[in-house]
Amino acid sequence: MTAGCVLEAKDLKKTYPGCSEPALDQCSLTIQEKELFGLLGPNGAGKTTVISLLSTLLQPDSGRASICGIDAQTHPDKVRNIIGLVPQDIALYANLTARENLHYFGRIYGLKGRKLKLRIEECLAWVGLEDRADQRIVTYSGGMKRRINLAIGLLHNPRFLLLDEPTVGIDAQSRNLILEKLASLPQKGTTILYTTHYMEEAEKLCTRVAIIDGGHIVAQGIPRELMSQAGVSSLGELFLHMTGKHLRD
Amino acid sequence: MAKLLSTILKELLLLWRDKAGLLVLFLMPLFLVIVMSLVQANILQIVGESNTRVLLVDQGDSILGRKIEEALRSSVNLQVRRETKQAPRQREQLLRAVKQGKYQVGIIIPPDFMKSSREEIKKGLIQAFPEQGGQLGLSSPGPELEVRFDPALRGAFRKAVLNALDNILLRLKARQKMELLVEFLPRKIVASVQSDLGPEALQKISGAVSEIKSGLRRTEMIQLGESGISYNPYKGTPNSVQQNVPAWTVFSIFFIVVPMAGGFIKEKNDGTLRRLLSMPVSPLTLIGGRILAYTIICILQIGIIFFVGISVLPLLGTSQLQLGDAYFALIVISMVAVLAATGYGILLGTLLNTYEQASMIGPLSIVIAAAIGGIMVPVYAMPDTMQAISLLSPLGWGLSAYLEVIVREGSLYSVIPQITGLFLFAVLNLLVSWIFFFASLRKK
Repeated sequence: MTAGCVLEAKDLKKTYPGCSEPALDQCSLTIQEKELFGLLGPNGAGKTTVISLLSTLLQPDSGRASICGIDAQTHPDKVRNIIGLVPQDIALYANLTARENLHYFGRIYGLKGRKLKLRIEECLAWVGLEDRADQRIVTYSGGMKRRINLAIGLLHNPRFLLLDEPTVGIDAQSRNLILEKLASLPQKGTTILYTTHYMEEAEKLCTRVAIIDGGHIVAQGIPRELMSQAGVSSLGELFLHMTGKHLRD
Repeated sequence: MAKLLSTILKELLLLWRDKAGLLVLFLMPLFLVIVMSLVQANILQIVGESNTRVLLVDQGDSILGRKIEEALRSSVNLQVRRETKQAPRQREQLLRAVKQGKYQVGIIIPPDFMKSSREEIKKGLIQAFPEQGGQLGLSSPGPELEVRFDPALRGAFRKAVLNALDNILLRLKARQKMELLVEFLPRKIVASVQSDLGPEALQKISGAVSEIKSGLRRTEMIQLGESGISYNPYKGTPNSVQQNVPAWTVFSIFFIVVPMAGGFIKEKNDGTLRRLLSMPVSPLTLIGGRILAYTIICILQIGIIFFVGISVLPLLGTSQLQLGDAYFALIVISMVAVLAATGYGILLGTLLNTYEQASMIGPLSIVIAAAIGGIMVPVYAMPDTMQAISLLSPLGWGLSAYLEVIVREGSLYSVIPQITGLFLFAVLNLLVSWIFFFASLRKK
């Protein structure tokens, strides 16, 4: 593994049972330490498959992925200790309070006692939910749910954070807070892989991006360089330039 | 261990917050066990398969009254109240009590029944031995023992009571006839010998006459067989409490599949399971935590329902649930039934995709298995075909094991087939769940 490299994925291929076409084919990605890496792609491009493979939820048919030097296929348990996954869904227990959710997931991450309490308070403060911590999730707004969903992924201070569209369908204030907080994470040592549909978000936030389409990485690099090479002025234009304008339903 | 404990606590907390789930798991079985025990107890009383009350008004306080009381009391589940001439109840009062259903059977023994009966037999003998001063002719009908039944009482049961009374009366008549014969027959022999053969011959046979006399006195002509009045063809048939308490316990144990499968499906659908599987925790811990949490719920259910059977139902007029001595067998049966139910819950949670499916298929399958397995109607009351089908129901295995211990004083050894069945059912469910669970992980 290259020094300072958090993710090194090479030629990942995955075909789902019953499908003739691979969801992911010859996918190679490299993410350096403290990077905020954007994985962009239209619906069905293979973003979630990449996240699932890297978070050890799926095994690739071929290819390898190592996270912080640990092979994700042969040592999934070790990888799970150092990654944090924030799924696209609000993956919380709606009838538990935010604090109870944090407590449970914290215990699953192996935290306990004072350390767990402290991390719960820090995470609640980080997403601005200290005052509402003892309310059930079912009473939360969409933005609040997204914020606590993010906080759970950060409870154990992961070295590599996988975010699957963390700002879908939320109010502007919550989105702004999430983006601000995410931008501050690499300085604290957390490397981020981030998928989104919002190009302006990725352009503003990501140090590097990869555009995926049809299971293939079609472009990878620093946004400004990629835009310059394609002769476009925004990441949105680059995206349409690389993936086409036809609808992906 | 900490992760397992946290998962158990999380499940219990989620269930505590699910008030509808709590109602289904705790209130519904309690309601069912109380209502069904009371309703079935009443039905069984009406059809004569429970404690049937007999009012015996013995206006003469006779031996016959005591004999009848003794014979009826010794039959299964008959409560006999005998009233004697010290506090006689009028015939009309007895008829009213039976008509109102306070007693299912009313019997009146007239004050001079024994005397009249003896007189009638004597008349018959005098007619049979004209030399004693009588004449041959038809005998009169004799004294009447009046019997009245509650119109709702089952026909077969009436017949059983009448047979019992017939047996007692037959025995009485036989005894009275024998006593009178002992008196009459030697006299007849002596008179005949003396008139036909002379005094010398009479002297020769006097010894033989004495032997005949004492021999006849020793002879017991008819024995009353108690089995003649037994009406219940099923050995060890449970009463309504013995049937309903274990039956609804098994039902409530299996009803946990609804919240259990529902919770699992929710986790699958809202992405929580996906998140958990990306964390450093084994799927075994997650599934084991859920199973153990619901095991705690089931233990509470069992405790509460059995408490109702032991302490609450008797206050409402039913008999008390007696658990017997085989506590260890009961614990093993309960634990295996819980394992089978949780295994089925995990299976449904794995195979089904929506909460709606779980809330429909879960209860439906349990209610069908309960109906087949004798939870609602006892298996012994089913036709032969249904009794054979009932062997397919895991709920039936659980109930049958409980009944074996509670009603038939069985042991752990005698319920091995049921326990093995439930255990294999659990293993099969968990095995299939495991296969499907990992197959589903390979999907998107």
